[in-house]
Amino acid sequence: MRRLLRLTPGLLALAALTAPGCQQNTWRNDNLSGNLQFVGDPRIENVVAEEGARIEYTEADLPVFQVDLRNLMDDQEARVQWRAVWYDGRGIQINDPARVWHPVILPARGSIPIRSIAPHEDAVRCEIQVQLLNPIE
Amino acid sequence: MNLPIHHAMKPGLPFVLGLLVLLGGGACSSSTTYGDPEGVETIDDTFGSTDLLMIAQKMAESFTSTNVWEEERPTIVFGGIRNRTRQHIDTTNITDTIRTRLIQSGKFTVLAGGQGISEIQQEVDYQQSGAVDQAAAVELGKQLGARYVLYGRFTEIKKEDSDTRDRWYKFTLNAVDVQTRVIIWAEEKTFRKTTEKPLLGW
Repeated sequence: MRRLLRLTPGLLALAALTAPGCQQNTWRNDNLSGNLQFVGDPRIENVVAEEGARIEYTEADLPVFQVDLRNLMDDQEARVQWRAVWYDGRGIQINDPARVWHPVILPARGSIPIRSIAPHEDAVRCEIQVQLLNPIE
Repeated sequence: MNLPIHHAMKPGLPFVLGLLVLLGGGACSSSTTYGDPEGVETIDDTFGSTDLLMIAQKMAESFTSTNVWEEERPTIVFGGIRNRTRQHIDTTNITDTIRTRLIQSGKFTVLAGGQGISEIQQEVDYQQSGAVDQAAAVELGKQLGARYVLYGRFTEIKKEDSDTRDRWYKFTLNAVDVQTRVIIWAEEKTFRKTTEKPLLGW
């Protein structure tokens, strides 16, 4: 039992690495961090995946987070939407009057970078939320 | 038993009338719900809320992340946005959101212009009318002047055939140095909206 307990964290980590759709990493750079979060319909995990990401400061000292989205499908385009939510060092969400879900069309097997610049220099953490495109019609 | 035809029809009349009442009632009732103000809106290919917010975010992100200013906290004022599309679009709605985001960023001194100036003048006139204690009145001649003016243009290219209508939009914003006339910053946001026409109607 004790041996199993010792193995469990490793097994969980391995499962997290190998399970499809669970490759949602947190990207760090000094005090800045960013991550991509799938929300809504869980089938999004079969449609797109995150690739490389980076978070750093612009020349005007505002954090910028960029992550590449890849369409996992071989034969059809992926229609998704994304928005960025920024938090300060205390974990308080920073208001953005222009926050909006951005519709994105990814060609089959194609990828595009999505990028968000923080609305305030107090921002230290960015969460980019991605979900299947579900427009208001 | 064979009933005459008019006997067989009789029970149907109240049913039809009831159905008409139900349908009529349904047509007169409405249903309202709250929606996500940040949600993607694709009701048609005309300018919408998603477009407004995407433009405002792109402009504000670009404006706040550049470092072309000579001052640490530049003084700016919003000029006009010319609407050169064929739609009736309140472009101040776009600049309002950009202005709010710039003010909340804390990186700029944003001066009132247009509507704000007339509101200020009205208050100054009242303060000078004799009704206000001059010890509490604002001092005249202390307003700031803007170093940079933001102005821009919104255009569209519309194409259509029998099956599709396509609108390509471009929003351009510039910042000009009042002292030198040099445009020191510019940004564009383009997007395309396409509508498949229905087989009937339109």
